[in-house]
Amino acid sequence: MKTLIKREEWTDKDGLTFTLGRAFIQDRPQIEEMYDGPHGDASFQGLPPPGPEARCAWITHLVEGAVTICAWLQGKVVGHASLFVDPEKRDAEFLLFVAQPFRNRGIGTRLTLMALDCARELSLERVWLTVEMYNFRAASVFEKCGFVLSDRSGGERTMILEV
Amino acid sequence: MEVNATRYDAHLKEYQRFAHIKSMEEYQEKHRRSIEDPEGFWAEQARTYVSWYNEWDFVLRYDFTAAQIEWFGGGRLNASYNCLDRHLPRLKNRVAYYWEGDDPSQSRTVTYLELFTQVNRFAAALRSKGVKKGDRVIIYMPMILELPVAMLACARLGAVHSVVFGGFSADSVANRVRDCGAKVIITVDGGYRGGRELPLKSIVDEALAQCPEVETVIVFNRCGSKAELDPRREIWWHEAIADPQLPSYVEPEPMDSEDPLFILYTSGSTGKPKGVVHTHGGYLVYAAMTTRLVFDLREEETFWCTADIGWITGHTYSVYGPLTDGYTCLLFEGVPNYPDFDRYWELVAKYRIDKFYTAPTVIRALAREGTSYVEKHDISSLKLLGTVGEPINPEAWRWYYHYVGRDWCPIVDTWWQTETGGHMLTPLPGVAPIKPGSCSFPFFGVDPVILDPDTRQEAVFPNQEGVLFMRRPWPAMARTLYGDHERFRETYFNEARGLYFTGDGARKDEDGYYWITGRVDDVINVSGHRLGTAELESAMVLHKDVAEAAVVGVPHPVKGQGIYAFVILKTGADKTDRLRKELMDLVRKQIGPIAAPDAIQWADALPKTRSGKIMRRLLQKIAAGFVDELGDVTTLADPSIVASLIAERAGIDFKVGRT
Repeated sequence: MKTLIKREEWTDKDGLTFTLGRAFIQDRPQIEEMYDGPHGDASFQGLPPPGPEARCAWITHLVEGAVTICAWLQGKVVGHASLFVDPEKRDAEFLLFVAQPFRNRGIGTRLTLMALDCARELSLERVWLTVEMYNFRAASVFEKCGFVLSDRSGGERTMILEV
Repeated sequence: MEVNATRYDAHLKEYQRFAHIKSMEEYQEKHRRSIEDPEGFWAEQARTYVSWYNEWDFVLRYDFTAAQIEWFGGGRLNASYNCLDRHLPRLKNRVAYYWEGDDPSQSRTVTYLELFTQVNRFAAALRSKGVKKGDRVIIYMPMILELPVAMLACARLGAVHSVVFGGFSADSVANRVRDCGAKVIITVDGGYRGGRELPLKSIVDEALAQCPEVETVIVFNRCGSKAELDPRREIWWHEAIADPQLPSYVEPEPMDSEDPLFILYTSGSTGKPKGVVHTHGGYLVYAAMTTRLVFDLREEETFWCTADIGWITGHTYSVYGPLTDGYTCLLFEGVPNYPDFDRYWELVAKYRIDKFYTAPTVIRALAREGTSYVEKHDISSLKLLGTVGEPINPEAWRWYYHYVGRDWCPIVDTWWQTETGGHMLTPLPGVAPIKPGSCSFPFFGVDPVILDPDTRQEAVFPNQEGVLFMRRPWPAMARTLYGDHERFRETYFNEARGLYFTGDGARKDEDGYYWITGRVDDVINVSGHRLGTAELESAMVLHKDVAEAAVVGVPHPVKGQGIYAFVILKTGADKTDRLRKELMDLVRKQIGPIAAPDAIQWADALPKTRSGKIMRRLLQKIAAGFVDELGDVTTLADPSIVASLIAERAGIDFKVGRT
């Protein structure tokens, strides 16, 4: 896949410049560093998995099994968007994580849009995600990017975007 | 959906003759004023309820986006002065506390003067050990009089206390010591609970082994222990205060309204418990005002809040609220069922308790045992009942109303949280009929809004369920999480712009009554105590045989919610009862006995999406046995695991034991 091999720079309203682009196996340690850091323990829907081996395997899968786009600030990963593709169904589950101090700057939106570009390039029909019912902030980011609320039951909502 | 039950108003006519708030009109007028003119309204309350060394420069400044809140900025006061010194001219002989021991043959009484004397003495001892304004002090004590003495002594010096509930483990104590950088611990040799001795000092010793930076440990001798203390840093309370060099009076330290008063650790939906910080001015005003108005308390009455002082309920409604107002309280060291299930009613009769405030979990546990226990005692002194900690189910409410309230006492079902400092949504006894299970209306200064989670807009229809937010600050709200303001901002102010996120779901009925529907995040409420599912999962995963764990709340007839754990073991580990027990012990050790799971189900896999996200709602339904209404499982990477999870359901033991 050609998209995003070359990293792009993006500056937020405060003048902080982030680098965004595909992450590969060599970027794995930096993603781990983010999750090991003080703002990485915010577990969202059971992720990252508690337990060192499960966590390690999950982070590896982000760069090897999934399509992951990271945002770097001064060489450190501060967030990522990942697509977990199901080639048979021609869809992908979408996941977004931005470390606490870097939220509300537009990084989440940026990463989401880039992930959707990847989805188009992969000729996927649909991208979907689940988000906690009360996570209004995340839901509004996703809505802004074109996701629509689908399943309303219980604590987790499903949102879908037809590519 | 629950029917919006009958209204109960037997108390209303009489309460409306003499209550502090006598009518719906009065409530609405005052509430409106508190929202439209908060500066004028709260300035008046601050002058009425609290004594200040000097008044504020401004009443309120806030910015929810930055999570900055300041009440009565520039005002100076001291909490210990407000609870003690200022009462001496008029109330020195009034009973501040009746104390009843776990052992029925033990009881004490302390007047405001006696409490003042003890607090000064202990404050002098603390000061001689180097404790000063701003220092953090951990207090790990059972329900004895020395606990409020220790808190007030810290407040007198301007030190910031952090009380740790006696039921927490050594690891929990150590975590809190380290998190707030405490150099002083005040504790006991042991405690009594339900006729048994609790080895509290040995728990502290275990914690201390992980905390070399602690410099002083003061130990109150409750159990007559002859233990040897480590002379390098440990000293008996009675020896510390016996020093003849100590003055009998310590000048209270003038504190800025926004200086921290205490830290109280509470569970959140992620990570380890966080230190909720409450400050001086706003908290004391609100504590005093809610104590007086919600319970409609009077000077001649005796109030009993059964909650342990280690929880916010005890901080506000057994210590700071009643003492600031000059009221009389009962403090009880023991438990509802020792020596027998009538202990509470025996105490109500013994002290002729006027107003009684307890948790739904207690009511359910006592209701199970039958009515003979209540009927044995003359509880006719009771004029008002209250509940706190979790929504109360209508059956328990009606039992309480009929057997304890004698079909007359209003029940104030108060909704609030550690973070809110004091009551938020609550009945006021002189205002309106009450509905079983509803927390009625917002207190003064409280401006709630329910957002529909689908649209993120305000709910418009009656009974439309949504997520409860607050539109504006109230004086007692927490100001930060100790050492992590960013997390404070992120957790409470980042869900909806300009609003405070409570974490609870709610609906408002056609009459304007609020009904709390439960936590919307990953926090469960066990016997009125919060536990984060992530916290519980992290504890289990420490076991060498555990690969993964997922914890959900499950309905429990006494506790409200029980703890149900799904555990995936590593290859080769055996799914034995012994391992179950090991996991329970592990959680007890990491957090405390309250956190011990009610059920552990061995699972080969958890219902996850392709990305690894756990579908918690499915686990909740499986745990609760609602297997016919699982809903959409198409997001699961492997839908077939649901069937095996259902088949393996562990079921839960509803035996009511000690926690």
